[in-house]
Amino acid sequence: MFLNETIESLHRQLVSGETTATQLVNRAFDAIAETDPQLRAFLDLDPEGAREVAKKIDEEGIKDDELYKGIPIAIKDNIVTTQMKTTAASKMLENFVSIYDATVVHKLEDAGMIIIGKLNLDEFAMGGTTETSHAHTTANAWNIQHVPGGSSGGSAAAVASGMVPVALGTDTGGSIRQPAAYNGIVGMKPTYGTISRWGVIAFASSLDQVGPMTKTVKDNAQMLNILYGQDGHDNTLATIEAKDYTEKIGHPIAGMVIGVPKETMDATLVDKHIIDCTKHALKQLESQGAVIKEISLPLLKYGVPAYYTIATAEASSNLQRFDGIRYGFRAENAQDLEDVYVKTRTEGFGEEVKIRCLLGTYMLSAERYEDYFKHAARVRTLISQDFEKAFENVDVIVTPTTTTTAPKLKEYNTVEEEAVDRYSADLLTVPVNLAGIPALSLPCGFVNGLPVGLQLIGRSFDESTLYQVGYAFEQATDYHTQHPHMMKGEESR
Amino acid sequence: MIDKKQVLALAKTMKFSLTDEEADRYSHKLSEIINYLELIQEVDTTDVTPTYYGIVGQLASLREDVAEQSTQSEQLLNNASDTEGAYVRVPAILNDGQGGA
Repeated sequence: MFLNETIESLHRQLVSGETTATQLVNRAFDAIAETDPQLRAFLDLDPEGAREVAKKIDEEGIKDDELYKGIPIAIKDNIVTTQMKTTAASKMLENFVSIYDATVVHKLEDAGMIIIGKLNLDEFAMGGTTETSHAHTTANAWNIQHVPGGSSGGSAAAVASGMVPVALGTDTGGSIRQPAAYNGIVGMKPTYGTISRWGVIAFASSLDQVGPMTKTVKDNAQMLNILYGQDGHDNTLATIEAKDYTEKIGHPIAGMVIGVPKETMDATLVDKHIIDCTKHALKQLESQGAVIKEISLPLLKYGVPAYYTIATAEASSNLQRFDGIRYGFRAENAQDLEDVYVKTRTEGFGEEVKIRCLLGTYMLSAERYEDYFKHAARVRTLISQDFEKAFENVDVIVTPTTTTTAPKLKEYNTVEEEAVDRYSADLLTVPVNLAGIPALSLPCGFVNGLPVGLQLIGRSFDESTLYQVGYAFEQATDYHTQHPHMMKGEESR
Repeated sequence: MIDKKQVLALAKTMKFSLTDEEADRYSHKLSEIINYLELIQEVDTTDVTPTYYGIVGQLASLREDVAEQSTQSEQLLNNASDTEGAYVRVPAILNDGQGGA
């Protein structure tokens, strides 16, 4: 297990010879063998490939300045790999192996990290529970009767349970931050344009971003250091000068102005225990000299409807490519070409994907385009401007990450939830994607044994300040040192 | 509101078929969702420029369109479920008895 490890602690052990890359890879697979039968976070594993890479690294040796070399990592299964299948948790791609690796895969490998497996998600990243996965459901690391969140639910559960020290997720409307919050780990949705999406299966292209999911804030910043930057493939990437995202870590936060939108502390929208945890966290930040200031994001409640209008429209277009012809699943017994498309897509997509594609097609239809899609795109502009105005007076905005703790898995839930309730639970995360700005979720408490996340929202390309504030909070609290109960007493090296 | 007939028409556009039961269930579900999404109609967006791209404060980066030699055609063909030589095979495109492409 890697429960008490960080990138730096593992690096020190590797450099001193206390452990080897091979031992770390074995440790990951031992932890997976022990824990994953309960959590079911993984969709594919590459023990042979990982051991081969580890052996080569051990032969080469690990130098002091090779911070990432020899450290195991797992990635969300909507990121394409040549060494393992990439399914996006869909029947449509259940046996798909990519002929190229995503840019982020190259970046991890260039840094010497060892990719050991692929992690479960909601089908095509559409969902907030990992229950829409065609393969199987993943459980929350803190209570296996609860959802891990989603769509990066596998990534969050794997890191929280110590099966891997770090993982990658993707975030279109909260898919990194919400599962990070539900599992008591740290998750960053960087500014749009920070990390290449080359080789990341598209859901809603104007919103999708890749990001790191880690146990600690510093690990997260260190991961972003090797993930950002242009690759010549993704033309939406911003030009970012060489930078160190850990640059402000350890700097005091005294005098920093933290804005708290009053709309996010409304007990009619957010569980009151979560509001209490957030207030407690704000007091902690205040005790370090931060100035807490109430602000307003008047359009917050329009974020979810604007998001679902835009995201489903983009998804309905992106998912046209799955036609059963060039790759992926193809239905049998088709009479003609049209029949191949229709049978393949009918059998290949799950219900949530179909619902969202129908909704997106509706939004883009000639009669609705102006009133729905274009109107939502205008609301998106106004939401961005709300944030811009707020950042004229504050350095960072703090909100809860989620409106509740992780709900129960469907099989344990007696009340059937309506789609609208599920969508509206994304209240606090989606406005950030619409504005393209960065946000970090980190642990800030527990309610009935389930973790609660604190969301720090920043100005565009100012991830460093979020890490600064996140680190200051983390070091003053002990939430990140607590481990899921099912794991207690099982820590071994 | 969106009725069963509209749902079936949308499904046709998206190229998947729905059973009668699905079309019924989806029309209820979609009506409920669309009703909720209509909340944004309250927002006055007169003279507001829409945002269609995620790019923050800058334009997409451009590059020269340079032709590159790809050597992956064989691997690409391996990803298709039905191939013949250097081609992907599909069933008949036209129902004119002339066979497929």
